[in-house]
Formats: sequence, C-alpha cells, structure tokens
Amino acid sequence: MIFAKGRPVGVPHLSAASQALARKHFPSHKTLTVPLIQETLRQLGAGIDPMKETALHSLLHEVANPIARDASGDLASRQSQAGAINFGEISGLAPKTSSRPAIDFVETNVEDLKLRKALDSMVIGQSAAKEGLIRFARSSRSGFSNSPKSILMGGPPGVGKTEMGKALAFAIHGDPEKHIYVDLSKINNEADFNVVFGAPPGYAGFQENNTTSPFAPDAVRAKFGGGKPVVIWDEIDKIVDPAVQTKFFNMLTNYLQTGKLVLNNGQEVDMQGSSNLFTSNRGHKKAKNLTGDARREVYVEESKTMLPDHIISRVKNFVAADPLEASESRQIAEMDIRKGIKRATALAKEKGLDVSFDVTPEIIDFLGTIGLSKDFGARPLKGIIEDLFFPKIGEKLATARDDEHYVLEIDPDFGGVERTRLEQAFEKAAPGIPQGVDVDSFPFKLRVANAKPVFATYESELPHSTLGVLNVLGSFTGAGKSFIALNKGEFDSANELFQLQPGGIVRGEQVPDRFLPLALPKVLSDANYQLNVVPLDENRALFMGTSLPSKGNQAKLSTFEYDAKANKFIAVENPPFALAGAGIGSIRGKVLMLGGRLVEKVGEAWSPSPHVELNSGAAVQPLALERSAEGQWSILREDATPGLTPRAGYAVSVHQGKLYFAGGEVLTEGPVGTLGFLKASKLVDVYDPQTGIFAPGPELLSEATQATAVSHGDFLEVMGGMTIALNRGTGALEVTPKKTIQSLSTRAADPKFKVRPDETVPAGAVAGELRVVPTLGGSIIGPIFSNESLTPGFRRYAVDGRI
Amino acid sequence: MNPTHHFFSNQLPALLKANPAVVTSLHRAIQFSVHGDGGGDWALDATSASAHVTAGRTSESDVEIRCSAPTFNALVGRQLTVKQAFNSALLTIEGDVGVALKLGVLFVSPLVAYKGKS
Repeated sequence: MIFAKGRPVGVPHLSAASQALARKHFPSHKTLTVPLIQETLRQLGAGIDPMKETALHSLLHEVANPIARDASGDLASRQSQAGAINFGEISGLAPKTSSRPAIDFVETNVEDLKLRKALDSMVIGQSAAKEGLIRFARSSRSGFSNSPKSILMGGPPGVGKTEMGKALAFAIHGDPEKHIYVDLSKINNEADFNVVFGAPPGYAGFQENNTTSPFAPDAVRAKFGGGKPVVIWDEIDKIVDPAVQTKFFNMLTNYLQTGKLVLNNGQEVDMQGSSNLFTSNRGHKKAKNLTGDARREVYVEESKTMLPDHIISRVKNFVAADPLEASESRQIAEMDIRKGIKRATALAKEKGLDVSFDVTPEIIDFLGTIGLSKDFGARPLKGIIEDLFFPKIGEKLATARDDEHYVLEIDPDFGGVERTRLEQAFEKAAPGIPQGVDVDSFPFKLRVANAKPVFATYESELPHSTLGVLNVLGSFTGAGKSFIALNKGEFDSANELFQLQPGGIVRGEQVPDRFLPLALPKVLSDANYQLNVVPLDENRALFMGTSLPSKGNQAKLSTFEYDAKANKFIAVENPPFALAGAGIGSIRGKVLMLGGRLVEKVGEAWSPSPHVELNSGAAVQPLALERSAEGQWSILREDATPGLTPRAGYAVSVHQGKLYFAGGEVLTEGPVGTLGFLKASKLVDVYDPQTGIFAPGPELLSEATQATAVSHGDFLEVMGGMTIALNRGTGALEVTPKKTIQSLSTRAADPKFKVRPDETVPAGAVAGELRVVPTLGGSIIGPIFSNESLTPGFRRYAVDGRI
Repeated sequence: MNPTHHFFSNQLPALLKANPAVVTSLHRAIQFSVHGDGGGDWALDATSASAHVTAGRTSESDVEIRCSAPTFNALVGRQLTVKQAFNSALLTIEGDVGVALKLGVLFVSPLVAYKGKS
C-alpha cells in the first residue's frame, strides 16, 4: 500500500477508546504500527478470541487512518482516507517479517491468554490468585534457568486451588489431566510416603521400576512426552508426622534445586523445567473474619511459617485464593452440572439415544445455595451433584425415548419449611449428604421439555379501570411468589404493585387469581413514563422508574432494589440515561440494557432521539449498559457489541443461559440528502454471560418490533409485536400488528426461527402491549381484552396449561 | 373523510357523550397538533361535564401531542398506541406525559368502551 504502513502512531494520539484498547492489548508499547497489529492478529488466529480480534481490527483501522488532532491533543477532524487505503488489504494476514521484539511480545501474550482462558473456563472467581498464577507462569517462561519453578497457593478448602493447577496443565499441554497429582493429606506415615515415591529396597512393594509411583520415569515420559511436567502438591500443610515432613522437605530441596527427583529406589527422574503448584489451607481459622488483602496475607504468612527457609527461598512465589461468594458457588454448580450433562448425553448416545438434558436456573440457584459450606467451600457441591442430581438422570436414561429433551426442575410444590429445613441441614454438613436428608424425596423432577407449549383456555381477570384499559408494566417471581406491576389506566391512576396468587383448575374447580396489593415507593408509583421491572436473583428485582416532568428538562430516574423476602425497597444507583425502547434483561445478577433512544426535551416537548449509537471508527454499534451484580452501571466497551446494529423496541428473554434481544426497529440511511427509513427488523442479538459479549444470533423469520419473548424448554418464542415502515422523507407510514408466534428451537443443529403453525397470539391482545408474566411453574400472558367487555385477562401458556 | 378528521368530527364527540367516565377521569384540556396532509389542530376540553372538541388551538392545555397525519391515523385505527408511537419517535409530548400516554382510551370504539366493567 502507498500508505505508510510501518509508520508508528503514538498511543496518546489515538482516540480515547483506542487508547484503552492499546493499553490493554499492547501495554508495553508507546507507539503502534500496522505491521505490529497485523502480526498480532496473525498470531492470534481467526475465531480464537473474537473479542480481542475485534479490538485489534478496530486499532488497526485507526492506526492505518490516523486522526488529526489540534494542538491541545483534542480530536480536530478525522482525515478522510477514502480511496487511499483498502482496509481488507491492510488486515490481510499473510505472514510478514516483523521485528523480533514484537514477536516475543505476542508469544508472551498468547501464552498468558491461553492460561487466562483455561483458568476462566475451569475456575470461578479468584481473580487475585489467577493473576498471581499467570504472573508465575510468565516469569517461569521468561527465565533462562531450567530448574523447577514453584508457587504456593494458600486459601480455604474447596475454592478451586487444585483446579487452577489443572488449568495450568491445560494451558501448557492442552489437557487438564496432564499433571501429576500428589495428595499430601493422605501421607500420614512412611508407608504412605512410599506409595507416592516408591518403596525403598527391602520394603514391601519395592519394584525396580517403581511402576506404581506417579513419578516413575516411564509414567512421566508417557504423560509429558519430554515436555515440561506439571505437579500439583495438594495440601502441603496436612503432613503432620515430623519424620515424614523432614523426609519430604529434604526430597523437595534437592528436587527444586536440581530438577532431579530421586525416588526411594534410587532412580533419578528428570523433572527439569517442571511447574509445581503447592496448595495449603493453613491459616483458614485465623483468616475467617478477615477480608481482601489482609486475609490473603494471613494465608501467605501462615503457609510460610510451616516451611523451612531453604524451601521458602526456592518456592519464592506465594499467592492466596479467596473464599467463595454465594454467586460464585452458583456458577460452580452450573459449570459442574453442564459437565455432567455432557457426560450423560454421551452415555445416552452410546445407547443409541439422541436425548438431551437441561436444568432450570432454580436448580442451579438451589444447588449453589446448599452446596456452599463455610468450612469446605464448594466441596459439598460436588457430592450433592454426584449423589442427588445424576441418579435422577441415570434413572431417566433407562426409559428415555429417542429425540426427547428433558429438563430437571425443582418440584413446584417444594418450598417454605421444607426448603429451609434442607438448607439448614446442608449448612452444617461436611461434604456429602447430611443425615436425615432423604435422597429419594429430593425436590427434583424431570420433565420432557420439547413438548410445545399451548395457550390454555383458563383466563384470569386483572385489576383494571372503569375505562376498560390496563397497562402491565412488569413482573417477576421472587421468594417463591409472583409479582406484577401495573397501571389501571385511568388518567390519574398511579403505578401499583401486586402479589399475584395464581388460580387455575384445582380438583376440577376454577379458582380465580388473587391480586394482593403491596406498597410501592412514591417515586415509582408516580413514574409517569415507564416502570421497568427486572429480576436480579431468586429474591430480588430491580425497579426502574422514569418520569418525564412537565417542567424542567431532565428525565427523573428512580431505581430501587426490591427484596421480596423482606418486602423492602432500597434506593440504588440510577442508570446513566433515560432510554426509550432499550432492550432490558438480566442474567446471573447482571442487568443489560441494549440500544434504545435517548429521551430528551426538544424545546418544550419530550421527544425520543434516534438510536443511541457508539461510533467506533469504522462501525456504528448500539450503546450497551451493564449493571454489575454489585449495582454499578457502566457503558460496555465497543468490543462487547461487535457487528451489532443499533435498534429500539427489542423483545428480550433469557433462554438457555443466554440473553436474547430479538427484533426491534432500525433506522436506515437513504441516499445522500434523504432521510431513509425506520423499519422493523429481523435481527437478533445474543448476550453470552460466559464471555460478556453480544453476538448476532439467528434472525427472526419476519420483522417484528415491540414484540414480547418467552423461553419455554427448548423454545424461544417471539410473540406478536408489529411491523413498521416509515419513509422518513415523505412521512408515509405503514403499521401492521402481528399475530404470529415465531419460534426458535435452539436444540436444532441449525437453529432457525419458524412460525408456529398451531398457535397465534390470542385475540384481544394489543400489539406491543403484550407481556409475559412469569409465575411459579409457568408463564401467563396478557393483557388480553375480551371483545365483548374489554375486561383484560391473562392466558396460561404452558405445555399442559398447568400453573 | 380521512380518519383523523372523522375522529375529531364524529368519533370523539360520540365517545364523550356515550362514556362520561372518560371525561370524569380525564378532566383536562388536550391539544392535538397533527401535521402534514390531512392534519390540523384540535382542542379537547374535558375540564367539565360538557366536554367538547373544537378545531384550532386553545390558549391553555395540560397536554399537547404532536405527530404526523399518518401517525395519527394509525392511532385512530388502533394499529399503534400512544406509547408505541412515542417510543418509535413518531410523536412528541408537551406537558403531562402520564396523561398523554393514556389517551389511547379515546381511540376505543365508544360502544365497546361503554360496555366496560365498572
């Protein structure tokens, strides 16, 4: 290219967003060049890390198209490079020669990245310990010495220390099992010691080749094939026998110094360049009431007190793991269950059955709660999953039919006293199932999920106004109850909150729904524009009220967390903007807001703006806000929404562990000098909480904006909404309400939305006003107005009409 | 007659007469400003039982909604609600937003509305 490809561009001369990306991906570089970024992209490889790839492309574009700045360093104008450069050619990743330092840098980062990815996929939380391990691995790689490298990780039991060793093995050898595991807690006497290091001559069990020792030369060669061994020395603090301790430390001193591990039969095993992770729980009691760095310091210092100086001087690296939070226990439960489901599915396949399994979020919450022990971390969880969860699935495999999809859920009747009793029983228990807990009566129920849901005939009457209108504002389930926020629709009526006691057909009798009024904070009752309700966890929901006052130019936001257990509202931080039509959803305690329009006052009138967009150089992306589990709002970086089209009017639903933002309306630009169109869209964006990024998902079959979405077993269903086509130049407008249900079976090999041939949105539903109201055990959908009386009601939506 | 003119000349007066509950609940003055072909200005005074609609602008209103004639036709045809039109940036509101967003009740057929449960 004619463009000065190699010309360095100083990081401070990049846009603020690109400076942040440069600091993250090129922390040691003060200047960037096109070849450097190209080479980094080539090293990364396509599709390995889409987030980083997008960030690098964005940087590449800006470095290739520098931005003019004025003397103060502010952006003066973007130099037009149109025609001067072909972005495709610039980013063409043909191998090119590059300066050696750049390649070194990339290699270091690729290795770091591999370990970080392994750690994040295998261990929940533990950011401080992970960083320590990454630093350790980096320094191990950079040194010239081939002696063993060691790190000691202190911390409470059951928090993932051993798993971090496996992640290290995975990052080095591509297999988490490529490590030698030594359970030092089982070494109580010399005989135990000999099991690990081989019996000395003359002792029972002596074998010349020490085939039983995991350190036998053949075993080490077979496992690591000449590569650098990884050894996990688990629970070094549990060796209490002084004679064994002395013997162990002597062996260790020699090994860490020379890289030769001498077995009890005198054989020398070459362990040059090995990575050794020692774990220790020492300090657990002392650290119990401490937090943060003070707690970590106790673990590190306590670990050091048990080691002789000559070991400390060779281990050198000390880090500490943290106790698990409840949310982390939940994530561990989910990770272990998903692994187990994979196993069960493979087992079914061996039997010739194409069946699949899933669990409801309630099960994961429940297991996360009871599986976390103050003394044993997440260890009880493993036992619970093995002893309670898999037997249910195992039983089902005996009678499963091909092509069925099962969902394990908590029995809807389980709750209250029984739940508290179980939670208390587990709270005090050591790993395993506590006494008095009947495994068979555990509240898990397996049901076939890929039976399609239908609307049941039973209807329920809603509180409504004398005018025969009603606005359903939001709803959620929490603390074993269902809640619904609505406005009865009279001109002066305030927003109201009700606890919904769903009725249904009970023993052949129709029992009406009951709506028990609850108090709302006045600012939420008075929110005259919108009141969004977003569930946060099994007990809490976020209420976000927006008022657009007659006087003044500022929208008034009022945000509260509602604790359904305590029936209490607590004022919390507001989102940074008032948005119309943003997609709002929550997953794993985080709230995500995507796209929408800024609501602002133009002159004296309230008027939503065009879409809120981020302009990140080449691409225009929607604004995305995130509320962390701790309650802080932030704007997501551009690389969290790569390739997304800004829209408003999304239908949002959590579906199989991801958050779907379906349809909406998009502004398209017309030819130069014209305004283009506002059109309903088929696009679907999917947020994956594992990666923290949005990605385009399967498109809707037909355009829909302001629809509603519901997840039911395998199906994500987008109901109703409308198509809209506005020629912004001429003002011509076409609006058509939609009655179809667009259904996506995510279990299909190539998931595509299809129109449900057998169901449509119930007659009497107003397009765009339809809401899915989750209740315990099923969904109800409304408001639906009877043509006769305009009395609004709900319709059941479930496989069997059950509520 | 286009839907907007028909609404202000016939449909809305009929609703006010047939369903006094709407007037009682509303008890405000509303200004409609519909621009483009088939548009115009109309004022609804529902501050007393003798609620009435007049063409043109009133000097004092609690709420004013402004939109294009195609948008207003879509409201009259109940293809759009006021809130949807606002959220799609098809309509702007001056004054009491809470009341404006509930004006959809004015577009309901008076005969059906009159059967509404009380």
